[in-house]
Amino acid sequence: MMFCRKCGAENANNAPTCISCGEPLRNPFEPTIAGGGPITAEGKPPNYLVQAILVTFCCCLPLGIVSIVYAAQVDSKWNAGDRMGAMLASKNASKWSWIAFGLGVVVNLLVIALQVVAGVAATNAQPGAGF
Amino acid sequence: MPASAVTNRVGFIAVCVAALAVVLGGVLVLRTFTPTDSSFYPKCMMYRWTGLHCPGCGSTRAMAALARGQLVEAIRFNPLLILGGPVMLTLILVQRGRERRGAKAKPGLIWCLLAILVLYSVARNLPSPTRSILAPPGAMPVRSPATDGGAS
Repeated sequence: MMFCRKCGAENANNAPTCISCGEPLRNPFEPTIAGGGPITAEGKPPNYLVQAILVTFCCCLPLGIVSIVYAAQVDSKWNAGDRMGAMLASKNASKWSWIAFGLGVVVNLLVIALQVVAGVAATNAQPGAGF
Repeated sequence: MPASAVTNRVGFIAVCVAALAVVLGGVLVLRTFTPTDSSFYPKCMMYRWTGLHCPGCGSTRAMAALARGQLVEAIRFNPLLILGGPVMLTLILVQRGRERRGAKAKPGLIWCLLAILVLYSVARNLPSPTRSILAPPGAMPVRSPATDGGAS
């Protein structure tokens, strides 16, 4: 048996499409179609490129670059017939985008908190400000 | 019309309304509060800690300038975002559409984008982080009656 990549429903091994959501099913371990032919982008895992670009611009350049590298790898490996590699790169692209996003939010909040603390301290330090 | 098509259409309209609300809200906030050193907008930690300009530095000021209709100022704050952003977005959407219709993936596009971002980061900091023509030119001009018509 195998599980649908999209909805997680359990399907028979030879099912062409998911019984639950209709997503085309393909075994990720299945080698490239013998005899070549153009590999279309059908079934290609998401590369999260937009998210990667957004985090690069909005907060974390180094981690955003990591996400974009993984996004490019998804397409490169998929075109080379490396389905497993493309899926792994897809997972990493998503993971690093989220790490970059989380880090950006946490660091910004921390800095704001520090500024507030410093501001309060400065106000209290002023002569006559404290009672 | 099948139920799924109706759900899709409702979802699409909801996304459009939400996007419109975000854009209008953003314009309102950016027009009301000028981004300054001490404003509440998130800052670039890379710049704060290293003094280097990343590809995103100046984005807030560029969007604020855009919200006020000052296109040239917006371009000065972040040329890649304002000039290249729409191009990138179009390319990504066009490529997605082509892939959905059965075309091959084009990893070259993404590698190109990566090269542009890296070159842009370097160029923004040459000859120095503050003197590069691509670097954001400092604080956003505050337009108030007190400063209008002044020496600047």
